[in-house]
Amino acid sequence: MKKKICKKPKLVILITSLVVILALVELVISYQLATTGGEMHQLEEKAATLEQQNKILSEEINQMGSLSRISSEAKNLGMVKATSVVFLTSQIPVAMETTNLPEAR
Amino acid sequence: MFSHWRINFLFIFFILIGVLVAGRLFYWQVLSSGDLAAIAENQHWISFEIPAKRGEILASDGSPLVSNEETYLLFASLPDIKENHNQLAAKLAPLLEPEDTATMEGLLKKRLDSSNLVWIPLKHKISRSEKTEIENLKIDGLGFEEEQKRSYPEGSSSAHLLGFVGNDINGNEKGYFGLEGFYDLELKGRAGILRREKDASGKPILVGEVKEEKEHQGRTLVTTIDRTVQFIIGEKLKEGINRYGAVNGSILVMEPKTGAILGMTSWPNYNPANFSLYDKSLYPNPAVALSYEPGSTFKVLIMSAALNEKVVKPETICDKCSGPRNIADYTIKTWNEKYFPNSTMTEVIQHSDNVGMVFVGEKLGIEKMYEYLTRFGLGKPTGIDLQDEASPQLRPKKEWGLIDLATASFGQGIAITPLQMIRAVAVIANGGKLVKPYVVKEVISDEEGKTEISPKLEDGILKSATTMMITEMMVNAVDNGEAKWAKPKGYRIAGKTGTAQIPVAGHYDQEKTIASFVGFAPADDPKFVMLVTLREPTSSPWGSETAAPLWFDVAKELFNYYGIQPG
Repeated sequence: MKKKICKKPKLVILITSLVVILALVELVISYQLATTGGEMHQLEEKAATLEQQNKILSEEINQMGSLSRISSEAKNLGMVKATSVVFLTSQIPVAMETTNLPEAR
Repeated sequence: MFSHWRINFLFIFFILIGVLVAGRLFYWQVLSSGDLAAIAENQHWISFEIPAKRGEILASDGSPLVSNEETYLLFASLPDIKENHNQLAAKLAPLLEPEDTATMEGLLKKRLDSSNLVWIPLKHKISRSEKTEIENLKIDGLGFEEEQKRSYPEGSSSAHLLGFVGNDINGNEKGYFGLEGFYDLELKGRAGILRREKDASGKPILVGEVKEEKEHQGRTLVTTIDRTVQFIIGEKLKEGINRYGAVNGSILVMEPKTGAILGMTSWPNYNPANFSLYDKSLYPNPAVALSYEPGSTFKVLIMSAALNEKVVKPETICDKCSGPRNIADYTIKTWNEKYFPNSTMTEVIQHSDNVGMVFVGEKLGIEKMYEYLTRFGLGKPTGIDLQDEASPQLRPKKEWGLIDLATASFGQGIAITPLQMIRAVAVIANGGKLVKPYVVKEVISDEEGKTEISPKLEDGILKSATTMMITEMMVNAVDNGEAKWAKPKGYRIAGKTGTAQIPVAGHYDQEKTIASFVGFAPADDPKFVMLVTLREPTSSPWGSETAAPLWFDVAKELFNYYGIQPG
C-alpha cells in the first residue's frame, strides 16, 4: 500500500516535467522559426535592394557605353576624326639597314 | 391540451431554428463559398507575381541594341486617399506631364472621381526620378508597381531594323515590325507566381506551404549587326541626305559569304521609344519593305547571266550600239544620249550603256532571263528574319514581250527591294552562291542555353569563272566610269551606279530619280557588299554624283575599321 502512494507522485512529476519540457521546446522552436522568418524577410529585402542597384548600374553602363554618346563626348572634348591613315608596309625600313653595316673601327 | 400546444410550439420553433441554421449553412457552404474561400485565401496566403523580363537584343559584340529600363505604374487606392481629388490632380499633373499640365490634370481628376472603383491606375511607365519626386510629396493612397520599358542605347539609327514594342487590343505588350515583331514569341517571357502562407502580421511562415510557378524570361537575341558599322552608316546616311538634298535613303551592308547583315539603316527614321509620336508611314523598313526600280545597278545581274550562259564574253562586240534602238513602239536611248559603236561588254558596263544592255538581253532571251531572275531570288521573299519584309512579284513569263526583255536588261519595268538587290549582287561577290540574309545569329534562353543560327547558302547560281569576269567588269566600271573621281585610291572595288526613274501614274517622272550604288570590296576577297539608295536627290539626279560618292565615303571608313589596306 505504501509503495503505491510513492509511485503516483513520481509519475505525476514525470508527466508534468515532460509536458513542461515539450512546451518549452515548442516555444523555443516557434521563437526560432519566427526569428528566422523575420531574418529571411530582411534578407529578401536586401536581395531586392541589391538587384535594384544592379539594374540601375546596368542601365547606366548601357547609356554610357553607346557609340552615339561616346562620339558626342569626343566632339565636346575637341577630338576630330583622323583624315589620313598611313599603312605601314612589311618592307624593312631604311634605318634598320645600318645594323648590317660593318662596325666602325 | 395545454401541454400539447406547448410541445407543438417548441417543436415548430426548433424546426424553424433548424431551417434557419441550415439555410445559413447553405448560404455559406454553397452560395458564398467562392467569396468566402477567396477571403480566407487572402487572409492565409500572400502572392507575388514574378515578372518576366522581355529578352534583350544585342549587337554582334554583345553590347545592347535594345535593353530594358525599369519604370513604374503609379496607382491610387481610393479608400486611402485623404486629399481632395482636385488638389491631388493639381499636385501630380506638373510632375507627370510638364508639357501639357492642363490635359493631365483633367485626366487625373476624371480617374480619381471614378466612384465605382477602388484601385485605379494613374499613369504607366513613369521614370525612377518621377517616382522619387512623387514619393517626396508623401501623399497617402498612392502606390507604385514595377514595369519594364524598352530602352535603345544607340538611339534611332537602328529603329527600322529593331521595330518597337506596343500594346495589342488586350493591352498586352507586343512587338511590331523588325526584330521585335519577327521574334515576339521568343522575346516575351511568361510571368511566374509565388504563393506563400503568411502569419497575421503578413510575414511569410517559414514552415508554411510554398507554391511556385516559375517565370520564363524572354530569350535574348544576339544579332550579326556590327554596332560600329551601324553607327558609321547611320551618321554617313544623314550627312549624305543633307549633302545631296534627297527625300530619303537607305544603306545596307552585308557579309557576302554568309548573308549576315552587318548594318542596315534608313532615313528618315523614328524613335522606337516614342513611336506613337511619329507618322505610321515611317514604321516599315524601307530596305526590306519598299520596292523600287533598280535601274543600271541591275545591269550587272543581266550581264552575269549572259556570261554564265556564254551568250557573250567580256570582249564581245556590240554591233547594235551606234544609236537608239526602236523596239515595239518605244525608243531606247542611253542615259546621256552618247553612243559607243562596237563597244565591248566591259565597255557596256563601264558606260552604263542601255542600248548595249538591250543587245545582251536579246542574246539571253526571255526564257533564260526569267530563269536567272528567279535564280537570283527575285520575285519571292529572301526569308530574312524581319517582320516587315515584302516581295514584289515578277510578272508571269508568258506576259513578257520584247519591250519587257529590253527594259529589264537595264533595270526598268521591274521592281525589287534593296535587300533583294544586295543579295543578288552577293552572288557575284561570293563566287556564285545565293545566301539567305539573316540578322540573328544566336538565341539565348535560360532553360535551353544557346542556339546558334548558321548561314544558309544555295550553291551553283553562277559559275566561279563567271563571277570573276563580271567582277573585273565591275572593277573597270568603278576605275573608269562616271564615279571614278570619288573612289578611294589604291583599292580594288567592284561596283555599279544606278539612276532609276520613278514611275508615276503610268509614266516615268522626268525629274525625280532614285540614285543608287551597289558594290563590294576588296573585289578579290570581299569583306562586305553594300548598297546605297537615295530617293530624289536634288543636287544631281545621277547615282554617279550622289549615291556613288556616299558609298565610297562609307567604304573608306569601313576600310579603316576592318584594317583593309590599299593595293
